[in-house]
Amino acid sequence: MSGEVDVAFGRPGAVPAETTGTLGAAASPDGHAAARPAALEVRGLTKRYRRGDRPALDGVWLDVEDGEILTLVGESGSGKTTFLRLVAGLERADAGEVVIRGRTVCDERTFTPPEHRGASLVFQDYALFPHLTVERNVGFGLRRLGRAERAERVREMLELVGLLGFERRYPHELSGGQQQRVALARALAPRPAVLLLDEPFSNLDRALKARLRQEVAALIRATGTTAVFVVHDPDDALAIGDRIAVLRDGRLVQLGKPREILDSPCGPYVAGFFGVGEVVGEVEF
Amino acid sequence: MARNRRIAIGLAAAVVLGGCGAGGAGDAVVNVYSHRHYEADQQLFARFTELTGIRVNVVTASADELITRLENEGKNSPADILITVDAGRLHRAKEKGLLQPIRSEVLETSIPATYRDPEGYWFGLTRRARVVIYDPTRVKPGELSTYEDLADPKWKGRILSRSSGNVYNQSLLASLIAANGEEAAERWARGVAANLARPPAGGDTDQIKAVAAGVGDVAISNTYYFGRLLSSSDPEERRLAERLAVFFPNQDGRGAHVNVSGAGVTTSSKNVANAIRLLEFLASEEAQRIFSEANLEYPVNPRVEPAEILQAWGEFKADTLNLARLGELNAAAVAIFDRAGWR
Amino acid sequence: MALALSVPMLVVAVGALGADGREVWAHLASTVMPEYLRNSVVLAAGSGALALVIGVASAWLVATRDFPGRRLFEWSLVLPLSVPAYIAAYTYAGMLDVTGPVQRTARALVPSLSDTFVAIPVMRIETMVVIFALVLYPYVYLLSRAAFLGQSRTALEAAWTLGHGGASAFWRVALPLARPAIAAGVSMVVMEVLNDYGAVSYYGVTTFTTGIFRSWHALGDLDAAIRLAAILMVFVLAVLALERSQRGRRRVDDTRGTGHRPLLRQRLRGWRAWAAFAVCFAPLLFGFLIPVAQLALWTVRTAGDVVDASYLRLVANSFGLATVAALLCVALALLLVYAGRLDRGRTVSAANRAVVLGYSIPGAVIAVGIIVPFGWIDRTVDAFAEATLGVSTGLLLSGTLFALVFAYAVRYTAVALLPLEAGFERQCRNLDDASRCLGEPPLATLWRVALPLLRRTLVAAAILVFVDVMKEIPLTLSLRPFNFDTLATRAYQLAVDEQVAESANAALVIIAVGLLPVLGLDRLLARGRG
Ligand SMILES: Nc1ncnc2c1ncn2[C@@H]1O[C@H](COP(=O)(O)OP(=O)(O)OP(=O)(O)O)[C@@H](O)[C@H]1O
Ligand SMILES: [Fe+2]
Ligand SMILES: [Mg+2]
Repeated sequence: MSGEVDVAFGRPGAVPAETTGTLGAAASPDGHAAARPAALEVRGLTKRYRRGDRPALDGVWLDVEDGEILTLVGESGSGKTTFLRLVAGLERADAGEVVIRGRTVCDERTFTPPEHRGASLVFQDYALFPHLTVERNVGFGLRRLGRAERAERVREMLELVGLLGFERRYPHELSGGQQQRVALARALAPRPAVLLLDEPFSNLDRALKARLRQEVAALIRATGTTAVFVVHDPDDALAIGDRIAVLRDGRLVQLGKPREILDSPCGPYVAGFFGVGEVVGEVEF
Repeated sequence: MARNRRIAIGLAAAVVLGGCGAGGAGDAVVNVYSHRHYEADQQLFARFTELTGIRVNVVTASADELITRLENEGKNSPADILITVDAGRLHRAKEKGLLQPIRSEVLETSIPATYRDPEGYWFGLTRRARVVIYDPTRVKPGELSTYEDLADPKWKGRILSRSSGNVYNQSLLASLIAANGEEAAERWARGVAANLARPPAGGDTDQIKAVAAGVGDVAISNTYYFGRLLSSSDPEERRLAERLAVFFPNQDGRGAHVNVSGAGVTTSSKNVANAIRLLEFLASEEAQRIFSEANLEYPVNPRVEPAEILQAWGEFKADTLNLARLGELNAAAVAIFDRAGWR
Repeated sequence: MALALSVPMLVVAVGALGADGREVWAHLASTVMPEYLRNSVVLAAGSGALALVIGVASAWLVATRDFPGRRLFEWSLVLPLSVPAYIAAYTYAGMLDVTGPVQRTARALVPSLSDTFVAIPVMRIETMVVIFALVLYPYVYLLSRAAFLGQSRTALEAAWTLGHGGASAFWRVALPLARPAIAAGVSMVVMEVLNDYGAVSYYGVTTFTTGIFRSWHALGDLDAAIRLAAILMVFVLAVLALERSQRGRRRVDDTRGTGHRPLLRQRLRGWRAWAAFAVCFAPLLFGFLIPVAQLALWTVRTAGDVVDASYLRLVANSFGLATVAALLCVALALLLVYAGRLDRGRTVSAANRAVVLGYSIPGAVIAVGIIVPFGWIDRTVDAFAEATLGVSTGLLLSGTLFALVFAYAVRYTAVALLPLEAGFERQCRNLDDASRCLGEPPLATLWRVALPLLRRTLVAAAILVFVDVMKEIPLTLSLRPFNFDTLATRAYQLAVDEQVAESANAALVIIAVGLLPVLGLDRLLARGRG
């Protein structure tokens, strides 16, 4: 098992270049075909929480390239969290496949448990371990490293997020923004193949929110991590993402670079969402 | 999870090994399943070991549980002797094939025939009479006569008894069924239930104390409970008991209802000789004296005088009904209690 | 594993299907069963409700208010749990009876009463309800207290800011959030009441369980007894299912893993402080101090006759068994609950319900459920060995301590399982998920995240099992090996033999040994959270 983990948590680029270039059926043509290897490929992912319900996620196809930041937007309840949880392996999909760095972690036959996927999730509520100090929270996923190596990585991460000196604090002794950065450091520490972030700024004020979001994006870029970043604010989505995916009622309605989305929003919903075009009334935030 | 199961088993096994194993092969033992749990018994077993070098291993529990255990252990059961506190259970064990017949001249001469199984499956060891304890200031001499009389309306609100869940009451009713038939017995149970001074609760001792407190005038009790109060280390208990008196019913007829606490050798016994020796010892004059003095029960061995307290109550005539009948009629008695509303 | 623990219940269920106790059944149904049922329902509902009120009120006060004696109450409110129900029943009857200390003192002090003996009608169903509540409320107290303490201040603060003051915040936020824990506590009380035999049979209160024993012992019909036990099982199952379906899919976990800020206790003053004191002191007084004082009195009177060196052996046996059982049951329960959490489905949770049932049927019936299959295994193995190897293997399981410990596991895993389930429910699932995402497989997650967070609940569960096994009677009586006595069997046998005063010292030692872990709990509380 540890072999697999190594691959999953392995060095960027170590995986054979297997690309599909396939885009979601609903995605716009964006010409991103097979240029770089995909770190995450998602094919027809579908999830229904309860029988008879409308699917929370409905046949989503997309891929994320190595080192790319994909922002995921959509109104509340559109399936963003569901998508991240399916990729992380915290829920079982009803249909579809997930491939992380060329390794199928989820399809009809396979279900790789979350601990062997190499996908790290930053939770909407951080989910810091209340019984552990900052230091031990960040070091939580580094058990396979030696003691010295682990201490070094923790230091590195805390430095990255600007929290050196907070090692011995407990989560409840930190501010919201600090907690969020600990969560990020914890998720980045094992060098995940894909970093998944569930909009973690909901309880912060607007200015701080904007600043943190930029900060986080910069940090992710600095480490060259592939990321799927759920974002609530359309402006931020445009500012942070290499590409943007728009979800509506569990369906992927558009996928493309910020420019493309602004230039040719695919339908009134997307246009309204990003405040372009005439459509009003559908803008919900 | 499998791993944890192993740990659990290991843990338990360690406890088992740490615990005391019984009946180890080699040295002389006799293994006893007993419903009796008196200090006197411990004393007797220790004396037996002293005399014979045979070790006595004991498990005490209620007879019904011990019988279930014997049944399921089958021919490998370690038990050699089953001891109960009523003849009914011994009879039940015999019917289930759990006991084997024993021939022993010592037992046959020390224990009168009424107090043992005719075929030698079990032997009574002590006798306890079910009697009436009354307050002489409130019960006129001559007012008391028989068990049957307790159903008479003149006793309304004056009788105290424990619940019908207890085997002593069940045996008493069984003896009434044997003497007068089911219908009369049911009428009797209804009558007594209607005469009760309060709903049945507590044990025999509590009924005796309730008479002292004036809740009722007469209590149905086994002899040794009254004896214990009389010889209590607590002066208040003695004072209370001394105000009361014992009445042996049916002295002009079949005699007072008597049950035995007794024992039989199990079918599966691997130490039959030792088991017989233990029974013979328990029927001996020395042991019978201890039974009577330490536990205030009546000896079965006619050569042994009862303890002094018991002698003070005088001789009494005991019902000579074969005790196996009590076992046979036990279920019928319980059914009658239920129908009669004697809780 | 759940299956292994459910074997005795299965034996009962299968036995009930195949049983031919129809005649006895018809007899009971037409005569006494209505009363048995009525009494059982009254006892279960009455004691359950009373224990709920006492347990929740004292837990709420101790957890969220500050008043004189609070630190002391925090742990001492658990003490009544160490008093076996049947001992409390005997004690109250003995204390108030004609030769009890109350009347004795009255006679000694007031000359005109020197010849007065009165009967105080203690032995009735109403008293029984109160006594059960007094010695069993700690289940509710312990679990709801843990729940109140574990609640994040945030939720309560939110309630306060939304205009709900003390009482309102209690009813609308704290209570609903603590509900799984409270329900678990009350279920334990109810099950314990339903399976009691010693206390009710002494008080002459006929219940479903006395009916089981009547069929078995008096009527000699084990089949009918097993059938009744199966009905009791179904009844309890229905109650448990009702509670769960009522709770529905509501989740009460702390959604923010960080909300672990301890509550600030509100200081009470004046009459409020004294009222709080009284609410906490009353159950302690009647559930513990008075019975213990009475036992001590008796012990002083009789100790000379009954205490000897064999007591050390009894203490060692009781303590050893209780410790092993506590560790085993908590370990089993932890795995079962965690498996249920991982599974998120119905199979494991159904299996866990089956395990919980072990707590609801009378111990003596469980004993049958163990004697029968173990006896069968022994006989089969023996026959096989004899046929193939020509040697007899004898009894491998029956009458061993293994059988006894297994029986404890069957019966008391529920005692650990219910608190743990409640504890897990309060714990945010995202924490588990976070750990999994960070590369930790389920067992490692259990070890590194769930266990430390549930440490208090685990200790509480272990204490509950420990104290319960210390008091245990029917399983020990019918399954133990030769010459194996515990404090509880000694106390019980003397008590049923109406030598209550003589049984007092063993009862007192049970309570004393039960105190040890409770005092440990105090230390744990003192160290605070962590
Ligand atoms: N455990 C669950 N059981 C049933 N339905 C669920 C569950 N979790 C989510 N849903 C439903 O699935 C849909 C998608 O939910 P999801 O949490 O993915 O939305 P979201 O896009 O993350 O919303 P938000 O932006 O508000 O966080 C919603 O309609 C939600 O009600
Ligand atoms: Fe007796
Ligand atoms: Mg969401």
